Amino acid sequence: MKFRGKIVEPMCMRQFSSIVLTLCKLSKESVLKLTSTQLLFIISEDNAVPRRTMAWCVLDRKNFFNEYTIDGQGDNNEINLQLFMELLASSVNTFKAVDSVKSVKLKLTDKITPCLTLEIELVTSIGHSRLCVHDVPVNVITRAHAEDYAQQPPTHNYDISIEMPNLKKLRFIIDRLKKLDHFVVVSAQGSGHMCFKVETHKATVSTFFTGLKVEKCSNDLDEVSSVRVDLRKLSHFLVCEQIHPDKVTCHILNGHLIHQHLKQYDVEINYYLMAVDE
Amino acid sequence: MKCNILGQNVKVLARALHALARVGDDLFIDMIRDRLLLRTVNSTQSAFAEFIFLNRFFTFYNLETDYNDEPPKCKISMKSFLTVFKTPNSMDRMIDGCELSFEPDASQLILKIQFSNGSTKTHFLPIIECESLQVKYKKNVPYKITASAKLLTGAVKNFRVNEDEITLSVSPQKTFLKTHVDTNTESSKIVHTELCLLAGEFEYYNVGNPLSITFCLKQLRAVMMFAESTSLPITILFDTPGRPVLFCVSNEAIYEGNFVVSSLSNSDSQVTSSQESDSSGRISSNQPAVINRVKPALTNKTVNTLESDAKTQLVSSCATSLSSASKNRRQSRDDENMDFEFDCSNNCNDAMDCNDVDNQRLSMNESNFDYSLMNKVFGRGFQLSSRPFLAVTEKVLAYDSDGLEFSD
Amino acid sequence: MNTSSSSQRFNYLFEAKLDNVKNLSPVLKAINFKDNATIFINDKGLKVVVEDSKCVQASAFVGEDLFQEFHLRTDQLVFCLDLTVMVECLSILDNCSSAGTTTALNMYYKSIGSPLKLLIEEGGIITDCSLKTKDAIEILEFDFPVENELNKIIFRASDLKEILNDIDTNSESIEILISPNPPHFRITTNSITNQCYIDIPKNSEAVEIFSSKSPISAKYKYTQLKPAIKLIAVSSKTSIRINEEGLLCFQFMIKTVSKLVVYVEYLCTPLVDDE
Repeated sequence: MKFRGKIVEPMCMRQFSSIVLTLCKLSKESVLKLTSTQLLFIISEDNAVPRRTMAWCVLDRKNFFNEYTIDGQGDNNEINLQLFMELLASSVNTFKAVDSVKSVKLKLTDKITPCLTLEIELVTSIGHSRLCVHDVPVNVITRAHAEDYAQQPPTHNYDISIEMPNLKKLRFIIDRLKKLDHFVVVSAQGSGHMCFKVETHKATVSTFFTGLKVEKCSNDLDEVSSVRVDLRKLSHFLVCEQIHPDKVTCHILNGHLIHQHLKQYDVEINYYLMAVDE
Repeated sequence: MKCNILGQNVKVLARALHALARVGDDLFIDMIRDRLLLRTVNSTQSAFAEFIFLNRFFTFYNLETDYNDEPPKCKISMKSFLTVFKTPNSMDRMIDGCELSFEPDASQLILKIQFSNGSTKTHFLPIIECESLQVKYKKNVPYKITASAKLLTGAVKNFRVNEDEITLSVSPQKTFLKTHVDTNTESSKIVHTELCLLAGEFEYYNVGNPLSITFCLKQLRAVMMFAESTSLPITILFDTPGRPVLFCVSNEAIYEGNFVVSSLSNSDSQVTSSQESDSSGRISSNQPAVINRVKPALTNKTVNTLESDAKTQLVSSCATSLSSASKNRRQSRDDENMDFEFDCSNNCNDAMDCNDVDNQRLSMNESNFDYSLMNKVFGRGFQLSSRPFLAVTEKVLAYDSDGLEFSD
Repeated sequence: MNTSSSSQRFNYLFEAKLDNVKNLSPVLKAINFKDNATIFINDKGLKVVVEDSKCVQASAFVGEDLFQEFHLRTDQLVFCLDLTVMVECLSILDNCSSAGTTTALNMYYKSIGSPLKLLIEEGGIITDCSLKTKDAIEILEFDFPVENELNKIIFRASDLKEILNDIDTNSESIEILISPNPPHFRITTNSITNQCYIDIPKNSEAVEIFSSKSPISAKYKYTQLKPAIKLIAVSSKTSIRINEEGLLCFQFMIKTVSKLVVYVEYLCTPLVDDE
């Protein structure tokens, strides 16, 4: 098993770091799936039995990596690693803090434990190169267990697919709502309206957005599709506004599920939020 | 005694106190003829820090005591001081100056802050004891590197914020900073980071044989915080593993800060021995770090015989003494074996307590440095190795104020 | 969405419009040291009262001139609501404004017992809040006649804020002394680690007006003065008075973002010395 990749573009480094920092908010652990064409982060919902995918994040290796070699398992030529996102996040955090990063090499190494090693080439004040190496411990997932992470959750016949409002603004609003309650009802209409509503014994607070682009609507324009979800989990997802996505679509399966789909050039994040009953 | 500090310098004093507060909970204040000393030691006695302010730092400095009198000293809680200097950054904005005073045998230290708008704040900080803390360490060690605060902060930034210990590996061309891997921690839970700095990036670089030394990051962070705010470089002085590491910041002949931190001895650290060469072999692997008792009378002659290599060096820091413990050392260079020792001098000799630790220490000195006993006595030592590096010696009266000079 | 004009809402007891919600939210936030607030509305404006343990009372006076529209179709309204929730609602779109725009607020109260409705709008985003109201509970009546005041000092708040910035938060009580003789004004804090006098002489630049007929000093609980210290920070002028019984009265003049003035009064009863 072998893997090495090199990122040179500053944009790609920042992007990679933003993605890891966003995903580390969602869960402690993640599976990193390396294939010959893609790099995937797969995050499972905490305490869900059977395992359920909460986030499925795909990075296109061509656009991120200038060099990329993989010698993986099986016919698919895959490597599946399990790692603590927080450990990876602390290592990539310096891409942002230290602005003079020349290149980043990612490779699979065998130290005391298997590690994903990040070799960061920094430029010093006197113009020399300085190397900073982080060994992030990982677990290699066996082929039998890798089966669990083979498939992206299926797409449903959603009631509505609507463009999300400005994530940055929504993030501030959701953070305020978080102080009022733990749950929020997210609803959307074919007319391009979206509403985020919190209801407690002290107050009812609803924030409305209008004029949102509707991609697909299976029902009448006036019919409301809504899902009650965990406010905290929704707010975790909204951290991804720091990736500056081109487009975020919200797919709603009335009363069941919200599927957020984020697309940004070479990155795609799918986030699945299950309904919470009252 | 009484001294006055001007607005800008109040900020420096405040920052110094914040740096000291990151090390210990008590503040020992000593006034000597021409300088004010602020010192602290951490609870496990693995780290000591001091700031020395020369009278030039003050607008007025008067001990109001006779030359032969015991110089004023006291110990107060660090918390007390921090309530006065909560926000160092804004301290010079509306503050004209501050006045520090206390009388001999007083129960309170008085700190008066004068605001530019005419108002005043008078703090009465309770004195816990009239005691002073003394630590002997030396600055003429084989390894000395000086770096800008910016370089060090930039380097340390690459490490996790909760990183406790760090290994510094030096060679004539390069310096590596590495995560210290403790055998007890699960390796699947920690990131191992390694950063390379080139000799050319340092302001001063005196490194002979390659050497690795491991110490706690906490105190370095405290020094860095101070050095960054005052734009002073940090000098790191060290010797073989197991011996203390010294971080110095100095604003020549006005003030300086010295932070002394114990290091892991070779047997504790997981360094590859191939890289290390203990040039003198002074410390055997099974022998813990230096623990010596200070004899009451410290002779200045000893001081003078030691060569000083730094301009702003405090000669007193080289002061050493023989102790019964040093007999157990293999080497005859006894004076050099004294690296770092504590000495609490107390005004009231009869108040000297004879607690268990003291008794045990006495027996320890007769028992040929029994290692297990050491652990028993100083079991609270350095958290990493659970082995102590420093020891508080018995309380003695003498205070060698004469040794404290900036030599040119 | 509820954007119908006010003419259609004649059956509402109270309605008001505010072009910029930031004229109101910081003041309410500053007195939000307890959840429950009593709101009084009359033709002069709005009074929001917050109390703590029968010892402290803070009142914010928001004049009707602060509002662009202010209609009250009864003599007076009194009700209670959760101020914390109201403050959160008022600031919900705080970070959504683009440069040069302000967040508008419409308030409606239909009839006794109905919720207070807040409609907050910013760049096409609308938040509709419906805050449950309760019958008003009795509030404390402090008697503080202006005529026979013994002592009064008006401070430049920025100076006072700077001086009180590092106040010892471990001190359980705070003693305040006002006297015609030096030190004129003294705040004493006392904790295990630090005893401190803060002296502001009457000729200090921080003092704008000083009048004292006879010395008075009283002790107050630090926790009960804490909200007042926070209020100093948002005010431009602060006045301090103490009456013969030791009742302390702060008055804060607060300038809003639109340069309008809102007043807050803060009353605190002294600690009774057991000694």
